[in-house]
Amino acid sequence: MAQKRKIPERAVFHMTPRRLAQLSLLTAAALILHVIELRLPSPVPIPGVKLGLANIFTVVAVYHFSARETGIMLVVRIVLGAVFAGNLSSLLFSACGAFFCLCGMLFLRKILPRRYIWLCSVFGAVLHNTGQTAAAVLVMGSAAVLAYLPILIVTGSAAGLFTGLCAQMVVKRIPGSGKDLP
Amino acid sequence: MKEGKGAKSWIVLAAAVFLAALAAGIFMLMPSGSRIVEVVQDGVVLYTIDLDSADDTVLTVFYPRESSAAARSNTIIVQDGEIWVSEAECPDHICVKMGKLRSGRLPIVCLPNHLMIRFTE
Repeated sequence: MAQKRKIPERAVFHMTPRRLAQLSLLTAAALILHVIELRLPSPVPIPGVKLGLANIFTVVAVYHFSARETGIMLVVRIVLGAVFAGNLSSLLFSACGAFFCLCGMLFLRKILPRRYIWLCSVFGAVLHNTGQTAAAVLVMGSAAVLAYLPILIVTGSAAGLFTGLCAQMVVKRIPGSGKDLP
Repeated sequence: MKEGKGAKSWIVLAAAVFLAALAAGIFMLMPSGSRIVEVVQDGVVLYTIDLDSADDTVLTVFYPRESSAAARSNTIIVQDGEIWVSEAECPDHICVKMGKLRSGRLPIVCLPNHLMIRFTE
């Protein structure tokens, strides 16, 4: 009987208060960077090009939390980020990009050790831009916007390298993060 | 050591993707040989303009096209054989900042208003 009772409890997503606090902190930090970045003028007048500072914490979460926890954090950050930006029309693009990016990085974290967080982030950025462009093709009803993908990949790789290196420095400094993920 | 080896091939892949994108990006940015421009919204061609013969005009395109109550506009200027977006009612104004249409393959786009201006053959 006791066993039977434990099964549904396990099926329910359980998070310790400590994990919840850590996740909330990372989400808040990501949102702060997102809002700061909104104040910076866009360096290149090309739709979709941005530094993506908030993704420093997405990459940190990928290497520090479970897939599920990272996913929850990303959804909260993207929805609140779009609300703070007052630009709900960009939600579809960021959500689509983030989905591609997260799937790719969750796969790569099993292959790439912590020394290569920057590399995982570069691939994440490239996948983000790919997802974004795919959403743009659907929205515009035309494949002509695919012409932006190469440029987005070039700028995205640079941005991903920067945010990845930042994330690597953050992960190194999180206490108790010495070992790689199980 | 095994992990490092695996990472190396991923670095090579990243570099290859980057270089391929760089080459393709430069190709996309090359100026167009065509002088015919189309203004497209939601995959529907609204205007086709020959920049060599067109008179100077100001076009206003609304999104959504049907209901004009809450519609947002983009103002497109055709002048001296060039075309650009001068004003946009959208959050980012990227299409305005993109300036005049020059590249053959890279259209001016306004994602919020589903508008695209590009050279056509």
